[in-house]
Formats: sequence, C-alpha cells, structure tokens
Amino acid sequence: MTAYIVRRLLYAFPILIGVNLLTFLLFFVINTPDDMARLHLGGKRVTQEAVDKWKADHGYNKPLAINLSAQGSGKLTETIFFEKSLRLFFFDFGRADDGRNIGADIRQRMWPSLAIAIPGLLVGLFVNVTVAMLIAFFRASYIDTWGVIVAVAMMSISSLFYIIGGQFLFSKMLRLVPISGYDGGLNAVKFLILPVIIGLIAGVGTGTRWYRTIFLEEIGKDYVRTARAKGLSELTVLFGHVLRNALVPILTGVVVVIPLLFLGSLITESFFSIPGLGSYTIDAINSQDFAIVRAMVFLGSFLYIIGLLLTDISYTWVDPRVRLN
Amino acid sequence: MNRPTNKNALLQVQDLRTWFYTEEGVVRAIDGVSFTVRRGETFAVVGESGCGKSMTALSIMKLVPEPAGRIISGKILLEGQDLCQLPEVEMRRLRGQRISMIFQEPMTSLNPVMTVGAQIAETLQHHFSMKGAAAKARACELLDTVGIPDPITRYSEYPHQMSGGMKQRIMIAMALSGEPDLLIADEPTTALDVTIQAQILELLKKLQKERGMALLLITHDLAVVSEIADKIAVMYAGQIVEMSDRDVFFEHPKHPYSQKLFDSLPVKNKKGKPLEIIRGNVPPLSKAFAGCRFVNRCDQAWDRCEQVIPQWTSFLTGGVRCHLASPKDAETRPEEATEVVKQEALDPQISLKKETLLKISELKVHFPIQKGLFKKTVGYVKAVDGISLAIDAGKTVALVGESGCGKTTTGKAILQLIRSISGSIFFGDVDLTQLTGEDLRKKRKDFQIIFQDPYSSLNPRMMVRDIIKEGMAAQKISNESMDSSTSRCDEESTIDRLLDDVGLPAQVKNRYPHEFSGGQRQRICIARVLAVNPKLIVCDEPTSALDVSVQAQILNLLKRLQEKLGLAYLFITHNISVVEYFAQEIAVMYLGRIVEYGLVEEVLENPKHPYTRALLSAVPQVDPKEKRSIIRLAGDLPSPINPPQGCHFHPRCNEALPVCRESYPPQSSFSSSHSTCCHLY
Repeated sequence: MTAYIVRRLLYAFPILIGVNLLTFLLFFVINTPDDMARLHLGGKRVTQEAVDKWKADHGYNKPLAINLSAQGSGKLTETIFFEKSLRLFFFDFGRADDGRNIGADIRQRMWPSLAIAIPGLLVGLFVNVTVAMLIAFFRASYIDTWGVIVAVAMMSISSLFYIIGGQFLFSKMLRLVPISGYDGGLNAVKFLILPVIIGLIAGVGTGTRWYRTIFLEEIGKDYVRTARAKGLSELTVLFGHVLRNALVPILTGVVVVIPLLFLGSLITESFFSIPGLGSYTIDAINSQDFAIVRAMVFLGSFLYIIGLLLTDISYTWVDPRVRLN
Repeated sequence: MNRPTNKNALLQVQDLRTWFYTEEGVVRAIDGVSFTVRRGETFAVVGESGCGKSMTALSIMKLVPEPAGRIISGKILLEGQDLCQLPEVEMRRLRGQRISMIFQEPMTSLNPVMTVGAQIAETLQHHFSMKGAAAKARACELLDTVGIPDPITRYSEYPHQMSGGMKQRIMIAMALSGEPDLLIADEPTTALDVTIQAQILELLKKLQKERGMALLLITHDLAVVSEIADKIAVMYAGQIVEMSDRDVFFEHPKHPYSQKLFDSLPVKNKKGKPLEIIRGNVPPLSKAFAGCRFVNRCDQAWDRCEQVIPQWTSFLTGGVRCHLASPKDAETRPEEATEVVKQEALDPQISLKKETLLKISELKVHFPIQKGLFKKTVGYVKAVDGISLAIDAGKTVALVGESGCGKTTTGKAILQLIRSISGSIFFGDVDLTQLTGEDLRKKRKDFQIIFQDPYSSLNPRMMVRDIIKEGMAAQKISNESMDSSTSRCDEESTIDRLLDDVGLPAQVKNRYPHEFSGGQRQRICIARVLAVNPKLIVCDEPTSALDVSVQAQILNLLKRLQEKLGLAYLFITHNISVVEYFAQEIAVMYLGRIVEYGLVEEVLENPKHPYTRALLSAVPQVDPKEKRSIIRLAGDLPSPINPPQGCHFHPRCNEALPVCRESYPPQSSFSSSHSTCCHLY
C-alpha cells in the first residue's frame, strides 16, 4: 500500500512537469509577453517603450528559457521559465498583474469556495442517493418511469436557467434570500442557501439517473437473490446489501472531485458574486491576468492528480477485493 | 395426478403455473407442475436448461422475478399452509427459516463487500433475534458443521478470500442457520470440480440425515441424482414428464425423453459408437400446445401424440406423461412407427500409421509476481511447470485435472497465445516456441482452439459468414488463380460447405451469434476453426457449458470430423466420462505437472497415482447400484506460487511416504504408454 502510494506520487512528477511545460508554451511562447503588454496597455497604438516598461514592471523582460547575457547558473535561472513557471512547483505563485500576492489571495478566497462547494456536494450526494434509491425501490412501476422522465427533463435544462430562475423566484418575487453577495462568519449562510439549492437542482437529474442505473445493476445480481432468500425485507436488502455494493462506484466518483472543490465553481460564484476561487479565475480571465490563470491551471492539475490517487485509495477502503499492487 | 394424503408430506406443489409476461408474449415457464416432497427425503428435479426447474424452486420461495413473472395458479402447500395465499411479510418469516435455498454460483451468490460471518449472522439476527457474541458463536458453530477449518478466523474473511468449494460451504452454512425443514439446492455442485462436488454432496447427505430435513435438489446431472436422490421428477418444457423412485427410474426410465437423456450420456461402453442425440430443440413456451410437448423430438411418436395432450398416468412409485404409458392410448399406435431411425454407426477407429504431430517437452509457463516500489519480481506463478506430451495425428489426447491445475494455460501455450519460458513444442519439425511474427502467424492455420463458453467466444457484432471468413482471409486460403468474382463465389461455397460439415443450414451465414442456441454456437465455433484446415484442435472444455443432449451432438460432430479430416484433438476437460468415451490417451495434471499418462483404458481401469485414484473415485456414477467409496482429498489445491516441497501432492495424499516430502518423484513406466510420477512405484 505505502509502496503503491509512493509510486503513484512519483508518477505525478512527470505529469506535473508536462502540465508545467504545456502552460509555459501556452502562456509565454504562443501568447508572448509582448502580446500581454499590448493587451494590457490597450490596443495597437502602443509604443515599444511602453511595452518594455510594462514588461520590466511585471518581470517579463527576461529571455524565455536561456539567458546568454547572465553569468554562471544565471544563464538558466534569470529567465521567465525559471522565475515564472518553475516556481509553481513550490506553490510560489508570484504576484498578479495588479501587484497582489496570488498565494495570499488563493488562501483567502478558497474558504468562500469551500463554503458553497462542501455543503453542495454533501447535500447533492444525499439527495441523489435517496431519490435514486426510492426510484430503484419502485422499479418497473409508474414511479420509476416518471422519475426517469423528470430526471431527463431536469438534466436537459441549462444550469444558467436554474440560476436566473432561482434568483428571480426566491430573491426577487419571494424575497426570501439576497440575490447575491457574501459576508463573513455565520452571516454567510443566508447568501449560501440559494446557490447550494440551485446547484442541487441543476445536478439532481444527472446524479439520480446515474445512481439509479448503478442500483438496478446491483439489484440484478446473485447475492441480492441470496439476501432475499434469507427472508430479509426489501428495505434491509436495499440498505444492507445493495447500497454497500453500489457505494463502490458512487464513492469513487465523488472522491475524485473532492480536491477540486477548492477551486470553486466558475459559473455559480460569478452569478452569485461570491469571492471564491471560481470568480477569481473568471475575473482573471476577463482582465487578462495570466499570472493568476497560470497559477489556477497548475493548481487544478495538481489537485486532480491528488483526486485520482485518493480515488484509488478509497477503492481499497470500500471494496475488500481491491488490493493496490 | 399424484396427490398423497400422506401425513409425511412436507411440501405439496399442486398444478403450479408460473408465467412470464414479456414483450414477445406470455412464456409459460411452469405449466401445471405437481409433486410432493416428504419429510427427510431427497427429491430431485432433473431437466435441461430452460425446462423450468430453477423457476420451480424460485416459485416455492416466492422469489419469481417480478413484475414479468407471476404465479398464475396452483398451490404450494408447506405442511398444509398455502404459500401462495401468504402475504409477503409472513412469507419473509418462512424464507431462510423453514425453507432455505442454496444457489448454483457460489462465486457470485455471496455479498462481496460483507464478511462471510456477518452474512451468516444476519440470518440469525433476522430469524432468532440473536445478536453480537451469541450470533458470532452460533455462526462459527455452523461454519464448523459444514467443515470449514478454523471457523473463528474464517468468520471475518471476505468471500473472495475463499475457494469455490469453501464458498459453497458458506452458502450451506447460511441456509442451515435457520434450521430449515426444507433445503432447496439449485445446481449446488455444477460450478465445482468433481473432487469438491463429492465433498459437497457428502456434506449435504450427512446434514440431511442428521437434521431430518428434506432436500429439493435441482440439477441437470443424472449422476449426481443417482448418488443422493430418493425420488426423481424429470421436467421438460415446463412440465413434469416422469416421476419415479430412484431405483425404478434408473432401472427403467419410462418416458422417451428420459430414455433419450440416458442414451445421450457419453460412457465407456458406447466408445466408437455415435451417441444418441435428441433432435431439434425445446419448443418455445410462448405458444399453446396441441399435443405432447416432446412430439417433434420423439422417435416413438405417432399422430395421436400430435393431436392429444397426454395425461398423467400414475403407477405405484410415480407416474409418466406419455401416451405410451396408458395402454388404451398405446393401442392406437400404428405398428410401423416402432421403427426407430438408426444412425449409421461410425467405424471403430483403426489408424495404423503412427505419426507424431505435436511433441511437447519440458514446457514451462511461469507468470511473474511483482511487488514493491519498483515492481521487483518476487516470485512466479508456476502455472505449467515442465510438462511433456505427444499427440499423434488423428488421435485425441485428453488433459484432465481440477480447475487451477494449468490445463488451459497448457492449451494456450501450445497455440503460442501465451509464450512459454522454457521447453519446446515441436509441430512436425518446427519448434513453435522459436517462431515469431509472420512465420508464427502463417503456422497458426495448423492449430486452432475451441473455447469453453460459446456465448462469449463469438464476436456479437459479426455475422456468421464473417466469423468464418475472417480466418480464411487472414491465412489467405482461397483459390488465387481465379478472378475476383469466381473467387468470391468459391469463398461462399466454402462457407456453405463448412456450415454443412458442422450440421447447420447454409442460410444461417447471414445471421448473428445471439440468434443461436448454445449448441449451435459451438457448431459455429467449430466451423470457424475448420475454415483454415487445421491439423490440431485444442478443445478447451467444449461441452461443459452445454446440456447433455447438446453435448452428445457436439461430441458426435467432433468424432465425425476427426474420422473425415484426420484431425488431432487435445481435449481439455474435467469431465471424466467424456474422456472415457472420446479420447484415446489421457494425461492427468496436478499443479502444473502431469502426474499420470497413458491410454484411456490403462489409466481409467488401473489408475496408479493416488491423485488419479482420488479424482476417479469422486466422479459420480449414473448407475446407482455401482457403489463407490470416495477417496477424500484433504483441503484445496495448493497455490502454484509455492508448491509443496517434494511431491506436490503429498500434503493431500493418503499414501504419502517420508520420501515424498523430500524429492519430486521420477517417472515410472508400466507399459510403453502408461507412466506415472509417484514414489510408490
């Protein structure tokens, strides 16, 4: 097990190096520092001096990969690649274009992201499993048929509709919760209820349908027949036997996204003006702040790798048959 | 029909009908079944797949898959109480307590994420409100009863940590936990090896005697029935066609179907003769019958059989559903119909010239086990560990042994589907282990394989025509001299000829595998193999997924093709009676090595190795009068990763000598063909 985890972590290095090189290629070779400067300074009528000054201010005035004018090891270290890209490995994200420390911003903004993502995940999982279980209990009946129809209908509607519709109904018409915004401490709750509920509604169709398939597949298996032959009631069979087996694919599907919760949701956070990492990324994209985008891409890849590793480990936890070797 | 007022009757099934409502219409899976199981008796229901025997068991448990399946009418009386009238809540109290059931597949019938102990304790808690330590103690007691060593450790193990035989014991322990009056066993040993089968049957017999419970045994295996049943019912197409006491039944089966079942069994004294087959297929159960359900496949049928549904004729020990059994009806039978269409007898095989086709020496196939951070190889699974074998052209060599002994790996290694690590395989004068790439690919047309499961070994997205054509195209077998249009014609006629060879009409080439029955699919597999004109065919358990009557058809076909084309077969099987009937030579494998080798008569009549003797003693006999004493093998097959020191078999051997622990025995010969590896000789 330990050997497995160590090996997987070692595998992560080449992947992260690949991610790093790819982001470097995208952000500095394809989109050169000159392009960035011109974008920031606005349009085409920018003098070369202004571009150079912007680059010098933001530390983009060095060669990309090899600095021939520097001495000794400086040939490699005094370059954009070393200073901007390689430092990501140590989670040193540097400064944004407006001079703010990206690392500090991320540490501060991940809490609001987590504040909607974690309740969203837990409530979503609970509701999806419960509804799917109910549908599976009433399989091959009208409840099943209509459950699936409603689920398909709900998953066919864009989440944007749910957001705007929800804000209109609950905030504008019924005036139950604020339309958008955020506050620290317990005051945050009233701002978080609506996004969590809307996230739930937007995801319940897909989740229910998927989990229903998993449950029905398990219900058809031989061990379920054995459990019924013992004289157990249908509910005991479902909760005692089917659920535990169905949790294997469900849980592993959930575990992989847990690390990504830190990154927040791009759409929900910007619509509800929640100062999390999702809206941070969107704002950075809108303002062409590539330092932030680069940091978020790297962080996302890293968290995804961690998520996949956690998934494999969680397999051994829920399924005694799996041995990591 | 048989309606005893016997006080001893435990379960009375009366005119049971279980129908399935499908999109294609109503399928009458069980159509008027009546029988009585007495206290403490073993009642066997025999029949081929699809005859409704498993559905009968599920109907008694009231576990018919709903909503498609429904019990339409009839009574299921357990000590006079009709289960059909019982609400589900009451029924649940009965299930697992008064009636328990064990299933065919112990591999999938246990919950994989629960410890076996918890699964047994669950029943105890449900029916007797036993909890915690009390439930655990009782569960361990039950594990001990079914012969599981070290029950306390085993209690907290998961099903995947156990062998097939152990899992079936767990199933039995679970079924016994409610102390049932009736135990339903649905093919309890079909998925197990003969040695394990013998253990399980013995266990069931013993438990039944001790507890006085009734056993309803569902099986397709007449030999198993003859071992343990008291009464027998034969089912065909949703009905019981014959019911009788065991001895009467095996002495003199009355229904033509029962007779045919016996005739289609491959046994020694039919060697050289074709097996009786039951022509045609089981009729679809979705239509109503005007006459006897067996009429289309019966050699003794006359017009009355087609027009009038035969009624149940009772006699002393049972009854039969056939016009022949009722003297009044039998009178209407015209004389000429007695003429039974005899199949032409195959010539006994005389092949004087002896030409070695395949010669394997010291073949080893090891699979590395890798562990640790850098996947260091820490050991090997010695699947095949130095075997030598020769197959003559036109002959059949059988390779027998328990599952996990390396039979299939040997077969695949010969075909170079798995590469060996050492040893040689000479096919003619070419060493196959040295061939690679294009040379090997071209050589492949000489040796082919037929797999065990015809359901999964054909590509479901390919038409029969393409399945057969694929091999020919890969090996470029066609007349190149002709232009393209005639060569296509030629190809088509080749396909037609191949299908005709395996007994299928040419029209089937435009159909897909799912449209065929198991036996037909196996025929397609054989046609596919024949397409490249091989000299050797490795048959890996080709009939073990098939019913007896279909098995007879396939064996006859293989035999006929051997005569006609001079094929050699390596017949991998665990079924000794097929070997007896079919093969000339036999090699017994144990843990990657051949322990005994010889002509079939030599080995089966006069087995030398203790393992061969134990294996043969475990094979159930169809004739109930032929009493055998089973040589019990202790424990399971050891792991091929760490085979025991010295003779691999010594830990399970009753005759082990001190020397057996120290060195692997050398080969001793008894005749030019018969040899064994055992220190006793």
